[in-house]
Amino acid sequence: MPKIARRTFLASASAAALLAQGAWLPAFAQADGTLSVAVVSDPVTLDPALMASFFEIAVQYNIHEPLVHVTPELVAEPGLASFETPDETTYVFTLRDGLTFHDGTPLDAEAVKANFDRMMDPATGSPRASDLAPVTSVEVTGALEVTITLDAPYAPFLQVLSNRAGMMVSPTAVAEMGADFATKAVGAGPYRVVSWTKNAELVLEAFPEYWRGAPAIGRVVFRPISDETVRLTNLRSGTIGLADGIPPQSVGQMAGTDGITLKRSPGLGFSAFSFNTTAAPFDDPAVRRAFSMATDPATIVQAAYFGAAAASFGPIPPSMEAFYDPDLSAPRGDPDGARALLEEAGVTMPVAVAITVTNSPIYVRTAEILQAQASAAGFEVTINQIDATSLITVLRDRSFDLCMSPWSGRTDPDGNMFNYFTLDGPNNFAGWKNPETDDLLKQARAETDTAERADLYRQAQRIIADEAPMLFLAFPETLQASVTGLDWTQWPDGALKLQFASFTQ
Amino acid sequence: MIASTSPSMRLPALVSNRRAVFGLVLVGLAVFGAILAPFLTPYTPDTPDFAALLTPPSAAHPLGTDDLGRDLLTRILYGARVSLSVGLFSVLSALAVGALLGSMAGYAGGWADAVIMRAMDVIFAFPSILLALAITAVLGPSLGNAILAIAVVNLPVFARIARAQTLVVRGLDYVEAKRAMGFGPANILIRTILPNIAAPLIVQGSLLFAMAIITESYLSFLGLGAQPPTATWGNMLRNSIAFLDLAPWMAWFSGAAIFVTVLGFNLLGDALRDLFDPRNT
Repeated sequence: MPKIARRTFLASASAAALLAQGAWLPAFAQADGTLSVAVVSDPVTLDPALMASFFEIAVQYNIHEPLVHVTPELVAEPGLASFETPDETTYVFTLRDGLTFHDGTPLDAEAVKANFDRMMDPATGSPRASDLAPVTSVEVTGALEVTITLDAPYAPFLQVLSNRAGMMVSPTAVAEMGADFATKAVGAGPYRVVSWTKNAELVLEAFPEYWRGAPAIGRVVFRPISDETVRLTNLRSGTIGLADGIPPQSVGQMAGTDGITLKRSPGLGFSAFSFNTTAAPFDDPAVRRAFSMATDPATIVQAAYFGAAAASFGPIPPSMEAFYDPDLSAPRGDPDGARALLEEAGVTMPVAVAITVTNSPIYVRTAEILQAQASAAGFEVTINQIDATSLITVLRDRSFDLCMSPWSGRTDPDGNMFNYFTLDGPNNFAGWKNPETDDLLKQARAETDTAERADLYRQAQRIIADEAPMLFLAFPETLQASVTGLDWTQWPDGALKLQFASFTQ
Repeated sequence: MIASTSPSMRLPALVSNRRAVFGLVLVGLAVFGAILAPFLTPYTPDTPDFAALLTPPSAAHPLGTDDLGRDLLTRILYGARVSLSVGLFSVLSALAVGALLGSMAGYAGGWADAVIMRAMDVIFAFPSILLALAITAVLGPSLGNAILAIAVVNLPVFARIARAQTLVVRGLDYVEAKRAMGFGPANILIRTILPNIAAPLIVQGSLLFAMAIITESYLSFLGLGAQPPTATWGNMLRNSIAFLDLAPWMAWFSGAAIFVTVLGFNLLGDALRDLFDPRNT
């Protein structure tokens, strides 16, 4: 009943606005104020405790609200809760008064504790458990107050809680729905889930009790459209109002199209490949160095990203200003030097290697460029195209020589390095064992002084650039576009937070 | 005795058929381009030129360049080698195996007939593209597997034609005569029956050749055919989609190459069918 009443209200309100201003309403904004969003792929799950895919980033913040909010400039601010840190290992969170989940369950200290217990319970199998590894206890210290104790200082903690690990879900709904929770998701975010038809549409409607106030756009529909050309065509025709994942080659053209607003910002992630350091030929650092030397990030930026990226020598992008190392470099784009390195190492040439990529156009293009450049240096390169869904299996089984391992990025440098380069990091697809780097990254995690931390990351990045466990190529920009009648904010990692969006016409 | 439908006797008739000539010219063009590719272009098909990304057609690049600055004409010429060999090898192997199985089934009859033809029916029951996709998905993407998949898909077509024709021929006097002379079934099948049922198989082969080129382009289009940087018309067309707005010539010319060659083989196949048709003399 309230649903119907609300929709009728919105419909009449929009109709009234239309009459009053005599304004033209674009096709995408229907009478009830629906925004259609084209995303690259369907989310895998709507349960933040289980999310492990890149494709949930566009959707997750619309359904779920984290304890901590980050601004587009990556500053941590109070979200559901304000925070205090009496000492380096103690965080006290105070929840806002009167918060509820979509199902009416109160969002209080007990609910927050239940969420942390669930994420840290090995039975849940949550990828959040490693994000929360330093947490030793979560205690309810008041009706709205939770105190979290860590075993050591953990610099990225607030940023971690601004992402999936800080997203609170309704404990009653989790208990009632069981496995169905992953498709229905009851959170405390600006929108609640109306229906989800896999690979077709995810329909959300505004949550009137949202703590910032009900969002301006009443209804949001996420549609997965995997083909980049089809996504653009739909945006141009007005079938959708907002599109994620604009292909870089279209940037020039989109910028000059009437009725379309393109937004670009330096991303947080990287475009990189993992060397398999556990098997020949890339178990030899000299061969990795030679491959890295033969290939040129500048060419990738120009020919694969059409300029919409920055050249990369390591995992920390320029957008993380405090931690970016502009002086980091490695010898690149020098096929003759690479050939000399291979000769010096006494390797028989040509060195046969296979590059594994999914059939995404940009990565196939990148692989072809790498192939051409490495061939000039004495490698014999074949390209293996695999299905996007097999990528994670290939990486985990290490059944590759060189395999794409792109990362969407996190707001803290720890998120771009710890999982990739620590000894047993879950994303250490390269199988690279370097105790010195491992130690530096662990120190950096515990270091709360920004300048000291930046120095630790600088040292770690130098070792990585020299030892080349991964081939870093580019920091792609985040490219999204909307119809001009939509006002919205872009986050560097591509997260869409539509509570901050509205129709302007 | 078997000369009544020999193609060599009808060659003048083939040349006088205008459709056939046109078909022959189009096919000849593709074959000529494929064989002489290195002499027709100064470029190599796989070497990127980062200074010439997405160049429109010009004097230096008559058909323009692709997203890695590779000359499109060169890639189409070298692509003809792949597309034509896919057609040739897949059709020839399907024809050889299909004709043998079909004529054996037709000649032997009984349980051998039932087993072979039901097996063919199973293959036939799947939509051909779906079956080709399934085979390449299981075996892994490569050109060889694409050829194999297309051959398997076409197998029952040849087997059915061969069986039907064998049923007609096996009761004829010249087969009875050979049997009476004491020749074994293998000899009769290969020396007498197969030559006499060749005509409709050849016609079907030329038509399926065109289909095979299209199927390969589908498979390459889905990333299941030849792997990059090998140029095939299908993967060139697939690659062009991302650049439809920026560089439409990429799609025009690789699409045109498929169109022209397939048209050529279809015209040729139609003309051959008319020629071999006994009612048409």
